[in-house]
Amino acid sequence: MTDTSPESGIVGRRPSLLPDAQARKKLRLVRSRKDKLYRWGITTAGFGVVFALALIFVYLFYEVAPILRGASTEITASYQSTFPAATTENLLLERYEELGIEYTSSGIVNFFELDDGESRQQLQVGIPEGTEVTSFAAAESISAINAFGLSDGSAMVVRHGFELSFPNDERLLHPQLDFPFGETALQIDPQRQALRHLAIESAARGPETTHIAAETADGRLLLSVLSSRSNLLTGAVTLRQLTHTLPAVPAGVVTMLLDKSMRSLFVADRAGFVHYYDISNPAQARLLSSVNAGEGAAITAMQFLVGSVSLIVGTEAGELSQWFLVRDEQNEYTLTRIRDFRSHGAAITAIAPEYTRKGFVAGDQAGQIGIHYGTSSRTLFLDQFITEPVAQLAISPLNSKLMVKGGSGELSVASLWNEHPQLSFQALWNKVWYEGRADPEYIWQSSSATDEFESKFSLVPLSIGTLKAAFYAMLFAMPLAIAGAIYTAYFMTPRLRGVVKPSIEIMEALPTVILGFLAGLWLAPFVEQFLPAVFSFLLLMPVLMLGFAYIWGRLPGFIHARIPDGWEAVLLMPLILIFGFICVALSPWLEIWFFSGSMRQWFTDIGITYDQRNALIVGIAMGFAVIPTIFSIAEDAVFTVPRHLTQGSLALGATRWQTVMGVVLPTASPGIFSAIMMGFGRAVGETMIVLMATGNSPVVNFNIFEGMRTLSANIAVELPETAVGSSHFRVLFLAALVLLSLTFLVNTAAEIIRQRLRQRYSNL
Amino acid sequence: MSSFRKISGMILLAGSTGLAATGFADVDPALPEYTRASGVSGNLSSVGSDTLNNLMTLWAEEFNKLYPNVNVQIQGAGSSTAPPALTEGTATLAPMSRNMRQSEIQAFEARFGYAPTELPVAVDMLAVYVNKDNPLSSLSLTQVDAIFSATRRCGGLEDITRWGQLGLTGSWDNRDFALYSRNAVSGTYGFFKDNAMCGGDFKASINEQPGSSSVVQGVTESINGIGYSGIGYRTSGVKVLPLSIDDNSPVFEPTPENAESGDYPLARFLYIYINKHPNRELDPLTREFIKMVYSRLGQEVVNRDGFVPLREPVAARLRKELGID
Repeated sequence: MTDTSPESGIVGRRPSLLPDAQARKKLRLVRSRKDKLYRWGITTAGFGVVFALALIFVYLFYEVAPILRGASTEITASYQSTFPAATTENLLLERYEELGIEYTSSGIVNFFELDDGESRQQLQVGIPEGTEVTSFAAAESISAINAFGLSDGSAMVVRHGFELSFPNDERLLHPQLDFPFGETALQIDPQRQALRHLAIESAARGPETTHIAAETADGRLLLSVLSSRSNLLTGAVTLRQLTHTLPAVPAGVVTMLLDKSMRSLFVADRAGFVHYYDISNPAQARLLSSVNAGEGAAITAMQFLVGSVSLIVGTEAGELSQWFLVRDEQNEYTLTRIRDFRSHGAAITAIAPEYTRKGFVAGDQAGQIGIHYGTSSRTLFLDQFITEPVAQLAISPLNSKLMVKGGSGELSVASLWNEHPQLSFQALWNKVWYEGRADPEYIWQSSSATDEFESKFSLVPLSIGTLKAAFYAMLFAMPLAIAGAIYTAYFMTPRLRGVVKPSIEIMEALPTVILGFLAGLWLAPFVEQFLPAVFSFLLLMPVLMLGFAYIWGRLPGFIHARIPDGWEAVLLMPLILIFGFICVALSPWLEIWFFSGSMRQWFTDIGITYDQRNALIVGIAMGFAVIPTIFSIAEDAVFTVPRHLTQGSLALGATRWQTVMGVVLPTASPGIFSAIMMGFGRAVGETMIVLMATGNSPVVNFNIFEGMRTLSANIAVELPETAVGSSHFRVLFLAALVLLSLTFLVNTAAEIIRQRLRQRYSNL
Repeated sequence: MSSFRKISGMILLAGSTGLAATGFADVDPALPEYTRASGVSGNLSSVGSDTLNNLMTLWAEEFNKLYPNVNVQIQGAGSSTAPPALTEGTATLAPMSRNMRQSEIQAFEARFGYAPTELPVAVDMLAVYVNKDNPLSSLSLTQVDAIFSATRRCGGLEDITRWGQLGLTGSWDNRDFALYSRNAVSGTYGFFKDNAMCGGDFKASINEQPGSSSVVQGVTESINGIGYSGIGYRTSGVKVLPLSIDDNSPVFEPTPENAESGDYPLARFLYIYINKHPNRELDPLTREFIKMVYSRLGQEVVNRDGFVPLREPVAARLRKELGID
């Protein structure tokens, strides 16, 4: 450049300003170094981003991974028990996992050290002279209530417990027995026949009531209802006992169970049948149905899962199945087979339910132990445990210790790891039949105040909710943002564009929590009140605009001349405002004319569910959040279509509309497409708007008038309040992983499609 | 300044007459006066229930007036946050609107060897709210269960989806429900589920709200709304329904008398859990705070916040158990 300057010719002998060969070499070196540096820098940064993303994936996987582990056990101690296996009626572990508790048929309750079996204390139940124990029953383990059926038709009810003291700051347990109904036996059978089988359970809620059911030696079935009332001042307990005779069962009773809601009695027999009695009104108790649960095989063990809703039935053939009462439309209950577990292949001899979850441990004739879980239908462990038949089984309330008594009286204590049995692919993504429901369903209901609650972790409602919210947001945002982008970039005057574009982009900066807040507290009630206005506005506005455009085209030239080219859109503004006002003002009249006074009620009448905070509201609110993203990128894409293309098209005689459709849009399509995908990604991950503008109701449908619960909102609501490391905690991480995978997939697909489109239209 | 005082005075007056009109009980005069102890300073932190959040804040204010050197921090995200905080030692006071679950107690015991100490500090009544324009006069828990629950464990014969099924007529006959509920981590949700729904499941269509006041807000905004929250959150936009146990029992208003007699079916204690070693004294800071809570001063705060204060016999027993008499 310098040598072309006029002075260079005159001065002549001045040294050239061009770098000489050496300097050029040096410069080349510097340039190539810089080049390398930037190439490396950018490559490293790029890989860094990929690495960071991979790390997020790895971390989420790391938190989720324990879900996949099954259960494992390891025997820590084995010793001979003081009492032979045949005399053990019930075997339990206490919650501190220090002591084992053994109820024996001689009326002794033995509290022994778990480590070596040494007895800490043996307490006498006090079986009356001249009688002997003929049957035994235990209420739900957590209540610690047990009953001995005696040969004179009476029953002793006893409860074990521990008094705690802390000498030298060490915990010390003092075993105790107490007698909720007094130390004398309760007469169940007025005819003083021996009680062959017994069942006992106390009411879960309401007045203090206990049911005792008994089968007598001569085959009668009795039900005793004990209601106790304690005087607040004196503490004295008055007891009322009423005994009813129930319709008899066939011979061969194996076991009987009463539920905690005081509504049903289940009797299993050797022929494989479970008989279901409705005892909600004990005076008119009736045998409702008998189902063939064993399918030919005798039932050898039957237990409730915690909460006493589900029955686990084990048979001679080693089959295990879960049953509960399902209510039909006529409010009739039928005992229904819900699911089967992996067969043991040998007769089931003992079943021990977990204390706080819907799982259980089963032992069989061959000495195998199986750890199963109800809700997820998982068998987490099934293996040989001891070499002799399992006689009794106990699991600790913490689910971390297991105790097995073999047929020879040998006790084996084992540690147990079984943290996340309630999660499986089936439980997370398929329909699951939950307790008390009429059908298998997708449900998200993660926690409650009680331990006997069956957690419902279906990710389907959350995933559907996420897609639903994103879908309606895109439905609202896409046409507005893209059409707006095309108009702004192609038709609008630069001056107007200079105002419009930044102001839409600044909407991006609006905190979404404020959008959600406005949508939930103002927009939702407003829309519910002015439903016809919303619909007439949405449906008639395009018509109005087209109509206006038509009229504008017909207007005489001198009016056209007064509006500069590219400013026509401004004319629409007052029109839209006036029309919006008219819609709102007419709304009550429209309701009276067409919807008998209330459109909201009209929806209910024709059977459409309408929630105030629904997908329409979220669509509008989230649409506003997404529009700037889509608009900005799409506008850039349209604006950067090379001028020579559009001008060429116009020069060849195409109209501006034809140019837009035929040249501009195809060329800008990769950009517009990535704008849409960016918007979609934003809508999927958006949290605060859906959190505040919906009811967070985990429904599974695409009804625009119902709400939803999205993955992201769910994580925001529940993660701060779950116990770290619990199954619920891990499911929320899984939800995060699903969310991340979803956006990752969408963005990857978008990028691939964008590249294809670009290749295709790059030769234009 | 003077006009501000006037207005705030008027608000206070209006507030107190409002409370008197709804019939809140007086504080038991037998409760002891709180006397200031010397040498109390340090940090006191509380993590837990949203329902108890206001109450804890008011107590903290009173406590700060007595002991300006004490720094009290309060977080109220939900009852489920309390047990982990107490177990990890990040909180000395763990306010909860429900009892601790077995699993939560076990986690605490696993670390300390002894169980956390449960202190009932006030009585709350869960009220069922409907919109102020709703003509309904009362509900039974069986009906409440059939409205809110998908499982109907309390024995309701049919699912209730229209107000007409509760005997309302006219425009209400075929009107549907907008159900407002707290979110699953709150103690209120669990208590309602356990007591009003017999442990059953909520319908999927419930609107889960992040706080008690947003439940009331939701019911105010929807004519067909129904929701539940602590009685302390009642506003003029909603109506509180008297409740009965079942269809054949008498209905009871949520009044302090009915809560004390046990007639109102959704009354519950609110608790503060603390970490007290069985063989050691409480540290002076916690001791003085608890002492203040069980004094007349503390229970007046309970009354002011719209909950039912404890009576002296209960307070005396608890003070004695803690050895802070």
